[in-house]
Amino acid sequence: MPEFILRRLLIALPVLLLVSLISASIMELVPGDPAVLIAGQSASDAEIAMVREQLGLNRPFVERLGSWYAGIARGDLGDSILLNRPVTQAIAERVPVTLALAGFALFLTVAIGLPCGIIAAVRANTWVDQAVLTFALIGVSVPNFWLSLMLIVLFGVMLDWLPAGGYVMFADDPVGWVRCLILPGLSLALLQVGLLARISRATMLEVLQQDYVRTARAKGMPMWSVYGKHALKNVMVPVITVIGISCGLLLSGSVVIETVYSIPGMGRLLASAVFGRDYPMIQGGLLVTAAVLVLLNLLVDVLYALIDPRVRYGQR
Amino acid sequence: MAEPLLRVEDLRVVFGPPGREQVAVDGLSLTLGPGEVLGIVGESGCGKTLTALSILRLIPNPPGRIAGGQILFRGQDLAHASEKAMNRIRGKEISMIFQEPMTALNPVFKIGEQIGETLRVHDGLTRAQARSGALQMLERVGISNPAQRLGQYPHELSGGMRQRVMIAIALACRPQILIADEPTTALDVTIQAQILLLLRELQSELGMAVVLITHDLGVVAQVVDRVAVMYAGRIVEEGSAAAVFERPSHPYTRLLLESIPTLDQQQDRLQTIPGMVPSLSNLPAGCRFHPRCPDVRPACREAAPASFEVAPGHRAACIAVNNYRHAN
Ligand SMILES: Nc1ncnc2c1ncn2[C@@H]1O[C@H](COP(=O)(O)OP(=O)(O)OP(=O)(O)O)[C@@H](O)[C@H]1O
Ligand SMILES: [Mg+2]
Repeated sequence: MPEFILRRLLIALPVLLLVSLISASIMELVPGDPAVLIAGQSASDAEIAMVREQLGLNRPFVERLGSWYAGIARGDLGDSILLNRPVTQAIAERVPVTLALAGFALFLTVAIGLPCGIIAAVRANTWVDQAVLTFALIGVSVPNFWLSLMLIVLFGVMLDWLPAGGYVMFADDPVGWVRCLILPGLSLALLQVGLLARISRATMLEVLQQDYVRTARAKGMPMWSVYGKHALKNVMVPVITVIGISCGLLLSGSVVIETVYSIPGMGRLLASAVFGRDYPMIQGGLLVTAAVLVLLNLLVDVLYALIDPRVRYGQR
Repeated sequence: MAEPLLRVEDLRVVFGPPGREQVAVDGLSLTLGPGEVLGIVGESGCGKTLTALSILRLIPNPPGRIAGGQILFRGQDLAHASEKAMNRIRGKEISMIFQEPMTALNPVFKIGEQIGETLRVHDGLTRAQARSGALQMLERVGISNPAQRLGQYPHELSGGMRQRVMIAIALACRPQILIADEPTTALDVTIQAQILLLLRELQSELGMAVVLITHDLGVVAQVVDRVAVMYAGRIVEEGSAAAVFERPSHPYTRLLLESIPTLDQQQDRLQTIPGMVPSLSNLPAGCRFHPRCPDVRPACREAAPASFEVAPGHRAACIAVNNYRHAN
């Protein structure tokens, strides 16, 4: 197993290198002079020169690349132009918020989507199955910004049960923290819940046809063991991959949700960086997001190998 | 005769929605005594697997179901028993091994777990006890390095090994009856012989009754006490292996026996039974074999023949047999 993880890490390394290279080249890739774009059309030559100096644009690209990587090695991603503070500091503040939101949505996805799909397959072609399929269809077809607005109006404004937006730190107020996450978490998760329910239903239906399920029944295993042990572990093999993909989608989906619910996470930070042409922030954000996704994928691969022995031995 | 261990009475298995059912097993009856080895033979699709699955109530439902008859095991009717009662019988009193060893084991659990869990569920053993029980079973079915195999996954084993593991699972709780559905069909010839030998050894050692399903008559002749020949969902002939092989009475059995290629008889060409097994949606009226029967009479097209006793314990469902008996 440690060898397996090491192998996957080695595969992840080139990806991170590529992403860091692309991050570093963003200023080369934008059309026009980035210094002019940042300083604004009405800026004086002196101001533009200052920005250029600050971004190091007057140095050759290779030299800048060198100091970019040297910075990464030191944990320094430069200073934000808009916020006037180190990029790493701003990101370190925001990452936990987004991870909490996406993590909560992931919890909802797995806790609702997987059991719904499994039960629908076990009770295939009954009203339970129909109900799950209908719910899943609604889940995948409702746009999440619309859902967010409806939830805010209903639970935040009309019923006044939950905050309509904003965020408090877990350390300051744990209960308030959970209350703040419920509506955005639901809005973010619904699409993934629908997808996961449908995929786990389809997978379970297929697994239930397999000979080994019949063997388990022929052995006299009780129903919970046939479904919850023999079938479920096989269902998890493809489903864990889907959950991995969901993680990525939840992280990118949080940009919209953070904006709608005014949650101070990575998504909003990066969105404002893009609008404000805060290149150092964009570069740093890109790199950190990519690193998080690569780590997530690694985690999924490890889980996958833990569940399916054939992966560990490289037979798949 | 003493009360048999298992008696199947007028079993009917159908497929499809009510009103448009196709009858796959039609009025099948058979008995199995304690310690007896019964062979069920017949062409592909004649309902052998369905009969076996019915006994453990494992017919996939939907689309299939048991639509009639009784399956009496020690006085209990399994055709109408609760799922809970069945789970106490499956794997404990009556076990089954399947045709396809490559897919019958769960790919994501270790061998030791798959054998041990039956012992835990049925005999209430602890994990450690179940492990040593599994180890003993692996040893008994002739698997080398049993201690190491316990921790392996099915994909690390060959087909023959996996069938041995299946046998270990099926026999772990010392069942009264083992149903073996073509246990050697998917294996190559040398392995086939080893597995059959192992089954026969274990049968006499444990004193269990065995239902051996196969379409290989050679296998039947070597191993079984009694044989039932199936055709299109019915038993057409039944008797001791010696009687059925030496004096086959039903035309289908005769043709089946003639179709075995032999080395000593000089044959120009392989004998085959003309025609095809009828499909379920298009079963002929009367005797189901009549379209292919070399000895067909007008009466065969009218009504299904009853089963006649050719000799004590040897029965065949053919009116020609009945006439023959009366003529003597
Ligand atoms: N799930 C199913 N749905 C519809 N028909 C089925 C199903 N399973 C079996 N049958 C039908 O029932 C009949 C008997 O099938 P069965 O599997 O018992 O045959 P068999 O004698 O075991 O054949 P083989 O030697 O090929 O294993 C076949 O004609 C088959 O078409
Ligand atoms: Mg079969």
